[in-house]
Amino acid sequence: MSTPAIKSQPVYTALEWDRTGTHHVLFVAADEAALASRLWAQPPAGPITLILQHADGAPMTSWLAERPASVHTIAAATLELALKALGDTLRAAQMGTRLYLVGPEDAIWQAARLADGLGMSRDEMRLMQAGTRARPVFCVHCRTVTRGVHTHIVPCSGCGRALFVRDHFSRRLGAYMGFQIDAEAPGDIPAAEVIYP
Amino acid sequence: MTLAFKPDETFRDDYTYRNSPAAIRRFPFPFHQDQYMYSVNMEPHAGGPAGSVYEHAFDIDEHYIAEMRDRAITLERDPGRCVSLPHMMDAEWDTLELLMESMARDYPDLFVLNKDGERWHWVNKPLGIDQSFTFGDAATLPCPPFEYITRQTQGDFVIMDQRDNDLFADAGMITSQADWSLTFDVGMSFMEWHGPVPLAHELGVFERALKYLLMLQQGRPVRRLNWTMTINPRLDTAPETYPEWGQDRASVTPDNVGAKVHLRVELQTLFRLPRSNGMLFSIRGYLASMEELATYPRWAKRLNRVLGSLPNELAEYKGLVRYSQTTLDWLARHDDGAPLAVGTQPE
Repeated sequence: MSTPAIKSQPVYTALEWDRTGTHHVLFVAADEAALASRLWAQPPAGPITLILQHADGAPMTSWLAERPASVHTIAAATLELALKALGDTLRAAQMGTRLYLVGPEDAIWQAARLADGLGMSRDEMRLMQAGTRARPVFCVHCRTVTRGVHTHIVPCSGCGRALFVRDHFSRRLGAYMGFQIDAEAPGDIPAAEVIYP
Repeated sequence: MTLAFKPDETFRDDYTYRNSPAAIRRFPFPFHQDQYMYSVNMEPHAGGPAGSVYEHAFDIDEHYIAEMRDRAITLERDPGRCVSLPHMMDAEWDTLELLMESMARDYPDLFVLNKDGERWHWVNKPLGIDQSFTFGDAATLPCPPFEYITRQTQGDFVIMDQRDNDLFADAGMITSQADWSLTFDVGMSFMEWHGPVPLAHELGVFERALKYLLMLQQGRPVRRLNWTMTINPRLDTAPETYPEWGQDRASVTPDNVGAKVHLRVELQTLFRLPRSNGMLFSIRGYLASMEELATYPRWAKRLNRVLGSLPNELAEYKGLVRYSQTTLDWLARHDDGAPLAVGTQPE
């Protein structure tokens, strides 16, 4: 993992089970076969719930194929449904629950915010970026979040301004900061380049 | 000191803000030598020479009424410039107490605070406010306590919550900032919040500053200066309104540079709060145009040398690139190249 350009940008380390936990909730929004194999090879003690964003009819992933039989599994066809399932699960969760979030930053930080609102602390959560590097971008002018941004310049889905995508990241908003790139020289907008595949 | 307020001056549209000769003389010029680089540079905020910006805990000057009106305009346009996360109510009251007690003590002709147990009576003469309320009961004020008192105090304010050996920017009244967004940054840890600042992280400045601040004791506030430059005497240079003021940076010409380009100095002070154990961070800004500063040749010379030797990363971060050369050309005419002794004094 390279050093972030700006210190607010999250740095993720390879996910490991937190064996101090007594219950484990694994929220997954990306296929990551090597990680799935590694985690399932040495599951922790205690009940495990897997919430997997997995479209109906999509091929079986390692998360499903290799999971121990005892894992309680909830497959959700969309991120929205997966987040709803996570909320339901955490509302019923007991002390000692540990939460693992695997997926694109947009998904895992929405999940982290939801968990935070339900009283889980940072110490009880582990996050790992997987799948697309696309960014959620918060427009500092109109406060709209534009999702799935692959380029360093993007039109705001709210106000239409051409936003420069900064490396500055807000955990509370789960998004990177975007500001109008041509505010000083209107119309002077460089070509957008794909930077976040 | 008797203050002659300038209630009608403006910080937008026609920009009628100007400094009196007395205000220029007390301007907190930040450069004690010919080069600038980030440093922790904190010292006790334990008073200063009579009439200086350091004399009192919170400096009130001739621009007070006009600045408070400009804050009200900004809040009217964007209420999100004042944010306080739900767990900050104790720290809000701490802040109200500290500001009211300080201002009433330091400016008895302007502010009066009387207490009868929890029943408080606050009089703000310059703004024509007379308010009785119950300390600790937010329903007895027209708005939450932090917003209430910071609508009446010059400078931006952040309240930091101390936990997990870190400081979190969990509340703020930010209407005159040097291009950072409270809406975006609220809730951030100390390192996250300062993330965009170039070079200083590599120098270890924020690590040392955080370590120092975590130990800050009640009744022993500290201070430092920070600076940037602003085109026109504009307080609201927030990222939110960048589309409104960004083009000003391209409007500087050899003819208007003296009046248009301003040095913007922040007197940053930090106070431990008693009940919440939070920390009040006051960012008290001062603006002076190049022409105003050049009434003291020493300052024009010094600024010429500092700007001329500023690392590119800093010039870019501070947004100076479009007009720095025009400014340097103007300042160079005021610089005979003679050596300057160390010190920030005007003469």
